[in-house]
Amino acid sequence: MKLPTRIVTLAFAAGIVCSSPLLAQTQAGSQAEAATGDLTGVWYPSSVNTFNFIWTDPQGQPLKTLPFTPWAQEKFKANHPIGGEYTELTSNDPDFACLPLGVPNIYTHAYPVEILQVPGRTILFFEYEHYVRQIFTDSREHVKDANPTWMGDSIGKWEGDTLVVDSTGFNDKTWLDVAGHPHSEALHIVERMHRPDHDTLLIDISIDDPQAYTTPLKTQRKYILKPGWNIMEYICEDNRVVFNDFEKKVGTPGTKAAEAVADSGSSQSIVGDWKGTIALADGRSFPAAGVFSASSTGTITVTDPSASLKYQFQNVAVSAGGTITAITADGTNFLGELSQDRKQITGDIVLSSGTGHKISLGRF
Amino acid sequence: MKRERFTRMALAIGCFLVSLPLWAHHGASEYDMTKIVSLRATVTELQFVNPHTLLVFTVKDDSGKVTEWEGELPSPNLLSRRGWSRSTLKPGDQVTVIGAPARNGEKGMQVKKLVFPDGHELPGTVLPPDSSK
Repeated sequence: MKLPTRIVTLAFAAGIVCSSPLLAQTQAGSQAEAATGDLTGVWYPSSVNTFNFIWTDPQGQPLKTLPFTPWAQEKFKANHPIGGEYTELTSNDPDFACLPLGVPNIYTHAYPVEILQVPGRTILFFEYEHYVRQIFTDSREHVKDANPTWMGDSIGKWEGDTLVVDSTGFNDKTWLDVAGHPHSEALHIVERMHRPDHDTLLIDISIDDPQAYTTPLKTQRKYILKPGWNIMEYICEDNRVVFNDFEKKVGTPGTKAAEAVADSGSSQSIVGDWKGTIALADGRSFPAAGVFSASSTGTITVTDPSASLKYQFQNVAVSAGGTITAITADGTNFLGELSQDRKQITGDIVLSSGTGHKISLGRF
Repeated sequence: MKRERFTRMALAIGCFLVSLPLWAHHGASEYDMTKIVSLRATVTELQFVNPHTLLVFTVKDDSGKVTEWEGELPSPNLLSRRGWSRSTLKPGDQVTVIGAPARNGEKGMQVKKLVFPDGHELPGTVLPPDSSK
């Protein structure tokens, strides 16, 4: 299975190189190209990335709300991202219509990207919907009076090992992010792509869109090198019709009482103090402590001084089979197992959006 | 100095707010994340197709009544890098399905993980820590 996919990928890259009428231009330009860094490989979004971008001002101060112009404020009001009162059935996110995500929104999705470098060009081949960005590194200028496109017009230059990518020529049909922040055709993006170490890719993103925002915006994405991976096929429309039926079933507000066949139980068997470790999704581990009470509440505290954090759980229940479930007020789940001798708890702290941290606790 | 400390703390806390949109085409607002159900399922069908994987299964309650459920999972691309394949589940297979039920009371869920009769597990939306750094 792997070989044909790889061949397809290589053929795809070769196809881009060979089929383009710009070939002559590329070859001429590549002679002027300075020494380059190496960003090649399949990169997977790091789990330290948050669901949406954390936007900052140019000085790096996090922004709670973006500095909209009146034009953008109106557009933002008309955008209905998913979450809260909107589901896939009612959101007007262009992504749900299988339209391209644009830049930088493409970086919010949990799919890998392969970076290919050929003379005069760096190619970002995204697994999600197979979007492609070509970054021309042959000293050319931006296309003059460009017809706006979904993924924009990108030119790049190497500053040492950092690829500095300058992109314009975007249409205004995409959102900047999954929160529905709009942009105009004046969108200008500068990305600095670099490897702080062999296995890590950082993309520092600067947004300048004076029609939409009164100050420039900054954010960052982190990717991890995945040796041996290749880009797999992903087609938006594959089971969209079938899945829409399911969406209508679970996404339509109903009046039925949830009659889940829950495996319920009491928290009695885990009451007391526990100690152990939490293994974060990014690979780091910290000491952790757990306390569960007879009133079906409990806390799990991360005891590292640099990252003190407490999860306060309610509805703690242990089933006859040892499955432990609990929930925090903000929707973080604990899903665990109690060992048969009742001396070990292992499980996952699962955030409402999916990713989990592994917890392992012993009787203290 | 104070700002530097704040930034460090914000970064540290930010590291815990780990989340990525596994749901390319929709969020999780349909599901009641305050509840977790654990169902002994008999597999009817696994639709291992992008952008969503759908598991159709039946559940028999204590009185012998059989009901049909559907559970959604991340895309086959994400699952196949975590031990799944399209033949992981075949019609008739017995497996415990653990997940968050639909808010509207319909028999649908977001599958967090599967537990097989021999005790081994496969991740649904609960990703193993080594899935990415």
